[in-house]
Amino acid sequence: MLCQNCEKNEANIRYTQIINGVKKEIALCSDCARKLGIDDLRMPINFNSFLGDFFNDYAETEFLPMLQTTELKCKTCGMTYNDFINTGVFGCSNCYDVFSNPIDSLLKNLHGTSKHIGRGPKGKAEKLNVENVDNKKEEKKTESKKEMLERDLEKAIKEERYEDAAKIRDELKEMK
Amino acid sequence: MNWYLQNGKDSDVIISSRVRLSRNIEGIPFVSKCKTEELKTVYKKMKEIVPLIGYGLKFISLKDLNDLNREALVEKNLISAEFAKSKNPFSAIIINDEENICITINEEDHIKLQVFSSGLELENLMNLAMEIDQKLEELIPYSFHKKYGYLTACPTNVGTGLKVSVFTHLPALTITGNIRRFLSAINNLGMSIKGVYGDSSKAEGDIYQISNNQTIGITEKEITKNLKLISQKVLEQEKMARKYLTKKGIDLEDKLYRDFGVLSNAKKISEEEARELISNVKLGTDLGIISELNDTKISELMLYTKPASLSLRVGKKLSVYEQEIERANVIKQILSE
Repeated sequence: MLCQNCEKNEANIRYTQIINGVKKEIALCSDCARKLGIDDLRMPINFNSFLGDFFNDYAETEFLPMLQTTELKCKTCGMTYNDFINTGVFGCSNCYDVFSNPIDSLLKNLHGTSKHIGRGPKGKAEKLNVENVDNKKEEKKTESKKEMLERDLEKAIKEERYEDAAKIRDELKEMK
Repeated sequence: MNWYLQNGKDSDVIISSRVRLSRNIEGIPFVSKCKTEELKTVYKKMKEIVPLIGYGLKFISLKDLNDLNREALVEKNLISAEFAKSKNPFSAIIINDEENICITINEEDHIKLQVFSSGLELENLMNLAMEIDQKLEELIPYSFHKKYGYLTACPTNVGTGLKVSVFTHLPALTITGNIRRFLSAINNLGMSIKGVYGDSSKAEGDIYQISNNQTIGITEKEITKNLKLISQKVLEQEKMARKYLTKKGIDLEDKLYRDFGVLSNAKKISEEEARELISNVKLGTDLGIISELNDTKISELMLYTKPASLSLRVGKKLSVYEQEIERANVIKQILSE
């Protein structure tokens, strides 16, 4: 049977759609199925949520009663333990300290222990600077303040207010 | 020649080895919680330090690779299928021409350092990975916790951040009906073993990946040693099963040569069928029964029968139907070279 979409290739996927009780069947080749976005017959298991389920089952047992009462939240990335259960991954390094209690039991369950005994980094590399939007805003602010002072300085000199001009000049010097 | 076409130590059973280290950068959230500018910072920093690492490594942004090139990387086992689909504009790989070093940037963790070799080469790979890791730690601050070790997004990697894997070809254990028992025995030893292709019911091509589960509370050396021990046991068992099979004489020869006949004469062939046949043809070659092939040709067959690698070899994107025809052609080409 030929693919009912392109009518060129041999059909090897039968796609059945039922909407409001109306059943439609169409035979497709794998190319067309991919184009139409229905090729993923081998649906991959979301491993992360699978892990999360495991952690969740684990969290609900008597081992971790503290989790039901207080919702821990990581201040650095905003992650809650529930978020972790849903995704199976932590948000940042700080999460490991915030959720240290459940993590200890979790790691013991996963690995049999929760203490690292392998090697550690020896390098003393400098911390990375994230060029974020806030930084740029601040830069702009200081820039405009500088401009403002320069304007004031010009004005003060024009008006022969030399005492004020000296003050502004000192302030400008400090900024540099 | 690239590692995946080479012949390595014990590569009749252990096709290849891989060592992987997961690392994150201090002061930046893990990838899933990263803001665009944070992903960009990681991306830019890694791009900047590539010349300082050496090894002929090059920085390639994932967005500069088309679907076919990305899929070919998956087929060579260099990146994961999920990463290949990544839409994150700051995903990248750092790779050399030999493709035995491949570092992924901004996957689940900021950095995933991987080194590969054909055959059973765990100590050498481990040394290479450590060497590169030590260079990296001079250049970037790793996220390291005094109790939990190297921090990773997923707690299954935390501690050493180390996953050691071997990819094994176990046709004789399968034919002799021992594979299931064997798999559960390995799982009981705290290792994970799974079929690389096909679904859970059948490992297509009889190729299995074995890797460590435990990453914390164990040293890098112990992990490597354990994997090596397991690999040697696997090797021993598979060889015993092969020896048993060769006693069957003409029955085995007949089966393997029939598969060789289909593989070399088919006019069109699917990826799955090719994989099954190549598995037996490899077995026949390794046992010295099939004399028409050598190890390099087997490796070429294994690679170029995969869809994206096949399309790249032919030089154009092929539909599934065209692939089946071209696959049969390429097999004949490789056999007659």
